[in-house]
Amino acid sequence: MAAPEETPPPVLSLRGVGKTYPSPGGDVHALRAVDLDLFAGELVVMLGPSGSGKSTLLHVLGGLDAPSRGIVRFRGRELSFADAGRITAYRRTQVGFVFQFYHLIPSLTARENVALAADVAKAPMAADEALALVGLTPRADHFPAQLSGGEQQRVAIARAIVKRPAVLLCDEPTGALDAATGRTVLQALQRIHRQLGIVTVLITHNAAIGAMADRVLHLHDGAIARELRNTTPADPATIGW
Amino acid sequence: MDDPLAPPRSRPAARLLLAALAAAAGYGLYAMWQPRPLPVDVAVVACGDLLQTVDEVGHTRVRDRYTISAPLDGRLLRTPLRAGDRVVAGQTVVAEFAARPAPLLDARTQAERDAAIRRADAAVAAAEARQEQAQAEAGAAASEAQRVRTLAAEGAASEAQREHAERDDRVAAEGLRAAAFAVLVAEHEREVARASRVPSSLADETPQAEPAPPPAPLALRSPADGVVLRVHEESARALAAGAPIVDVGDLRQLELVADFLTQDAVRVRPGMPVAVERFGALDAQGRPQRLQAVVQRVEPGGFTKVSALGVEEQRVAVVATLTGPAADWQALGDGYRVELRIAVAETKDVLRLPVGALFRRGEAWAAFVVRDGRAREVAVDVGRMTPSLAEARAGLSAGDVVVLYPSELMVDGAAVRPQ
Amino acid sequence: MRALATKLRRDLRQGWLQYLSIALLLALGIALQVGMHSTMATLADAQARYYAATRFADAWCSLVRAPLPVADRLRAVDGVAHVATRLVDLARLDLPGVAEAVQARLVSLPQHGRPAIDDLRLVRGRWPDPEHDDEALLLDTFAAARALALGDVVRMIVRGRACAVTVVGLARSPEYVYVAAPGGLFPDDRRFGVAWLRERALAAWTGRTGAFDDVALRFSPGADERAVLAAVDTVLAPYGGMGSYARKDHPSHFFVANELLQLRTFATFVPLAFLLAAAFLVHVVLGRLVLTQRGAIAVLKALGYRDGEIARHYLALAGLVALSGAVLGLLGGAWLGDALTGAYAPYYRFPDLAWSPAAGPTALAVAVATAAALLGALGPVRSVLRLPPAEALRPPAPPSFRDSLLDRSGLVRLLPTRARTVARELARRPLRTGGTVLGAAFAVALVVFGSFAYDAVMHLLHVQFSLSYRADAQLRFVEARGDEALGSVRALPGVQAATPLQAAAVRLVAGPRSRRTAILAVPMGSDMLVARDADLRPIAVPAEGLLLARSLADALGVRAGDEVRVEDLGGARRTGVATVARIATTYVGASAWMAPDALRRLLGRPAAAEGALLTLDDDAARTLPGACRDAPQVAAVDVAGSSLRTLRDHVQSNLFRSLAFTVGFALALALGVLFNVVRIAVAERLRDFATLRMLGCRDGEVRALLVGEVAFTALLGAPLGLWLGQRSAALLTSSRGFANEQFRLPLLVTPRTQALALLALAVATLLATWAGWRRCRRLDPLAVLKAQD
Repeated sequence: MAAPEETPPPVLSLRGVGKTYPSPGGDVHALRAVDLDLFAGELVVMLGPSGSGKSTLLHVLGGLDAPSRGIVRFRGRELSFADAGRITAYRRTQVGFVFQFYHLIPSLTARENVALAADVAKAPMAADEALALVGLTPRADHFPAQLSGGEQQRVAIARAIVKRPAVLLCDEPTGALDAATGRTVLQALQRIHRQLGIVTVLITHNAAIGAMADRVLHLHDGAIARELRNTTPADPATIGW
Repeated sequence: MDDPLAPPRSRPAARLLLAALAAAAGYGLYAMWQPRPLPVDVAVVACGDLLQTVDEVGHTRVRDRYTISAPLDGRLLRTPLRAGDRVVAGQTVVAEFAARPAPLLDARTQAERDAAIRRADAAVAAAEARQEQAQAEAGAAASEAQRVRTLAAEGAASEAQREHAERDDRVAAEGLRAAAFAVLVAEHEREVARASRVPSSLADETPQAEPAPPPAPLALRSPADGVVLRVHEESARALAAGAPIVDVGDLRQLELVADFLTQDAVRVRPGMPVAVERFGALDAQGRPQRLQAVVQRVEPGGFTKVSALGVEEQRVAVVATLTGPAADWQALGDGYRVELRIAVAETKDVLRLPVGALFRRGEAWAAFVVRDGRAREVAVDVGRMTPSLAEARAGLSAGDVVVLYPSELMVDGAAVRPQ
Repeated sequence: MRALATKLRRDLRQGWLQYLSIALLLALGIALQVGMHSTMATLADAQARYYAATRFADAWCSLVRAPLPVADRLRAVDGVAHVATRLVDLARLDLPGVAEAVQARLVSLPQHGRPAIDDLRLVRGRWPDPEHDDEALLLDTFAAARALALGDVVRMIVRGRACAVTVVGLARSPEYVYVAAPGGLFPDDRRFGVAWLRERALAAWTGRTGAFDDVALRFSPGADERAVLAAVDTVLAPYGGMGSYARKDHPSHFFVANELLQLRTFATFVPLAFLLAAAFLVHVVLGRLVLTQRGAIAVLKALGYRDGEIARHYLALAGLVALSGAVLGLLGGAWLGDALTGAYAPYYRFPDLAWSPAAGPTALAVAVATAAALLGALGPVRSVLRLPPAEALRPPAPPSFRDSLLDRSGLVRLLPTRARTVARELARRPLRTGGTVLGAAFAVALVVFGSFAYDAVMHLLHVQFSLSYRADAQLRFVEARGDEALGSVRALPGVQAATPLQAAAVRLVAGPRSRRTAILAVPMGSDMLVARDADLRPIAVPAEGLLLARSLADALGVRAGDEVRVEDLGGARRTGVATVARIATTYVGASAWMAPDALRRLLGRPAAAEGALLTLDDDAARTLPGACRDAPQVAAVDVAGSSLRTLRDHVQSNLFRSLAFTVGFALALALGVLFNVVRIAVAERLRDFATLRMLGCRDGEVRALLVGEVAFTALLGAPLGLWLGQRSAALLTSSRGFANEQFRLPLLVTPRTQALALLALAVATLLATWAGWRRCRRLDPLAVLKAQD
């Protein structure tokens, strides 16, 4: 046996990250002292009931929301949320987002929606290539209104990865879809994850989806309650809910 | 049982309210749209007298004006009289006149006079000599004529010769008469020359003779009672005969005279009442005073006068006398400006309206009558007119309110607001 | 940023109607601004060039008569650079076949060459030959009005003497851009003209060889105008000088300057309303857009677009609207400027008056419009920048119906349920509601502001000619007469009554202020000249004291009971003191009146009658001008009736045209604002309306809500607009262009004007509501409800 494997450094690292929202009825603690490391190539699924802080954590990971306390490090360097220019640059080049409600620009076609992300990236792939990755080449010229929910979500995925981000963050990607469509979307996600090897974080309240992950994190009340490792991630086609 | 699928009835109350509101709004807008009433001056048509007058600016003058003038060449002594002094007929001396002393002659003039006398003497002598010559010629012509006559009777001379001789005779006889007259003329002229000779100086006079006392100045007395109207010559000076000295007249005999256009004067008759105005005096209340007069006469002869506008006019003088107590027009003097308004026609008790309310509609007259706050155009049959009032023979009734001076904006039916 | 650009294009296309309407509003504002200002610049420029080319004088003075050497004393006055002496006379023209009175002003030209000051512009023909005494130039507009051509012989009577001139040329002069006959109020080319003759001829005809009776002066740079005028007056006083005056009192110059002033007043305020409305709409529309695109904006941020890039995207939208508005506006402005200049050309008679775009106002207009659009976009864009993406990705919270002022005050309880909804909705968005109300108010105010002048002018004409000045005709003598001439005047055919026209030129002095004016002698009890008080009730001329017009009293700063010093500018030049008895209201014409006897005592001389005012029997009056032609001492007879009709028609057509434009503009403004706001309201509440429909509310109820909102704002805007209109009209009538000694526009906003304004608003409201309702009907409730925000 050779020397013990060197653990490659985490792509993203959170230490003591907390988020508090002021509210008329008293402060809301969305996150409490979260410590987390995300490593290259892994697919992490975060589970938890609504209000457990999943989305907030995802937003912090993606540089969309600033934590009230704690440090976030990307590839060893601290992300200073105060510096709008640096955080925007982080989002621009390193992060891909997929939302529950797709959030496609209704006045742009599928290809144009993907191109929207490509326009600000440094070395993106071609929009058509991204669409091919999600299997939507024949629908490239259709507007979101003409696409089904699943197709829209796949366009969103293509948009998220066209810029070859380091991190792919998905917030309830199947939340608005039926089971069959959801499985298609998850398959696309898995394919991309395997093909591009991006760190993928997936939030859902649907525990079954955890089967396709490398790691499953359970969040509860703003903190990571449990962490499970999955040695054999499942094929989304087999997941049933 | 109500049919559940039938649409519910709309609430009539709400509908009605809405309709009422809409109607109110519509009416409101309509009311606002109406043009504002025009502010106008109005007058009331009423019965009254219509007085037609002819007017003219004239002046006062004393009826009998006496001008005392110099009776002969002489010297006026300084008069003590001033304009306005009272004079009494036959008594007040208005001027004193002294006969002019004959002028003294200087030496040169004297010499001229003496030479003139000598010339006159010579002229007489010459005339007498001429007379004698003429006498001789006449005698010769007469005898010659007799001779030729005798010869002609005998046939020894022609007719022509006889006529010739007789003519010479007659000419000579006339020449004799003329010469005789010439002598008379020369003698007469000699008399005249001698008469102009006057003493050259007082030294010529015999020292003993007293200078003749200057004759007493001639007193000119006022021919009439009254006042002195004007003093033409105040200082003592020499005057030629006929030069005016003083005007006197009786101010109580004041008459008014104005030159009326003949086309106005034809309507004036003696006896017509005259209003005398705008001569400046104010009455007890401070308003301009008016006097009354009566037309005395309209002079028969007109004359041409160039008017202020530069055109020729025919005018004739109309004279009026003041009536009423003299105390009223005490302030009026002679030659004062007055305005005369002669009432040439008076129509009593007619319907009158101000002329400003009338306007022409084609050939006829019309006016705007205010009825219910609106001006209505009515045709008016107009009779007599003065500058300010007109007689409405038909079309209007007493009490009608008419619009004065309607402007171009006035149309039939316009809302008006009498001021 | 190609995809973003594509989005911009598609967004524009989707809301094209709204953006177009905003662009049109902007365009209107710019067009008005550019059009009016460039016209003003063109006119001012043409005037300046005209004046410079003709060496227009700086001051003038009329006098009775002075020998020519007196001009040297004028040249010696400090501040006077050039002096030109002239003879000026009034002639009566004897035109064949013309019964009415036609007059002309005769002005002398130097015997050789052209005038050194107040030169003429020869339009046709040639200058009169110095050797031929009977040659003359005519004012070209007069010649055109009377169909007089080169070579025509014109007979005239000057000072009682008949003469004839041959027209050898037609000319224009800056002194006679605006030519009104003496005593006339308005220019009338058919009845009054100007003719220029060589000096020697005119002097010979009028017996004034070696003398002058009018003088024009040019100042040296930096001259003190008041001091120079005073010195000139002193020099000319012994020669009957009637007071010198500078350009600002010259009627022709004043006319032009006044018009420019009026134009400036309009040009400043009216475009502003459009620009403000456009800015407001940009704010509202863009705000709505940003709101609907909340999610997209969040996505863009999430994708890593910088704030600046996103903001630029939306600013570009506003910018494109501004640009298209500017282009349209510039085109419109060019057309308007050209049309306006063309409309002014017949009145101003400047040579080479051609509209040219003025760079300054154009650039300014474009800059202002762009600024307006960007200002409107500022708010929405800032909210874009401030939007936290995380929050934006969540669906927006339902609008908080916190207790607004409306609820707290309890007013809302007064309203029925549906009205309560409407009121709450409006109270929730105070800025937008306020903006809409203001937009409606501006539209109403615009109609009032732009159209009240019509009624005001008609009122002025009525008051002047039916209440104040009722003479049917005005007769002028060649030389002043005593009033024994009245008798002869009364004898003229058709004359019903005659009043002597007696006026004395004076200077009134009250403390530090003084004004030149003429005191009119009005016989007591006169019916023809009646002064009026503020309520238009007749004021009897007081036996003692002055009656002053309000504008003159204000200019002198005096009130009833105050004393003024009166300096006689004619006659023996005495100075007296008079008490102001009362203040009268007039809009045009004479400013001071006195009883004849009082005037005589004040001046120490009777004011000679320059003419007579006549009332006529219209029928017989037809022969009056003919009779006057035969009277050599009559200079002119002016029958008011026909000139009044001409004036009224002229005023009506002009004002009517501007009224049509104004109402059109106001409609555009109101429609633009209301239409956009309604569209947005519908878009915002699409869900609500759809829900209502689904719930079974009938069309009528949904419609009522929509109409209710619009009607409410319109109802609030209407009285505000009427008030704004009244205030702006008051501002206008007190501005120098409309309130000066020549002419005062009465402040009269009639109910009819207000009704017109309200009607315009109502029409706009109805149209906007109809457009919104159509949109409402077209929606498919299900689709709306299913669609995401």
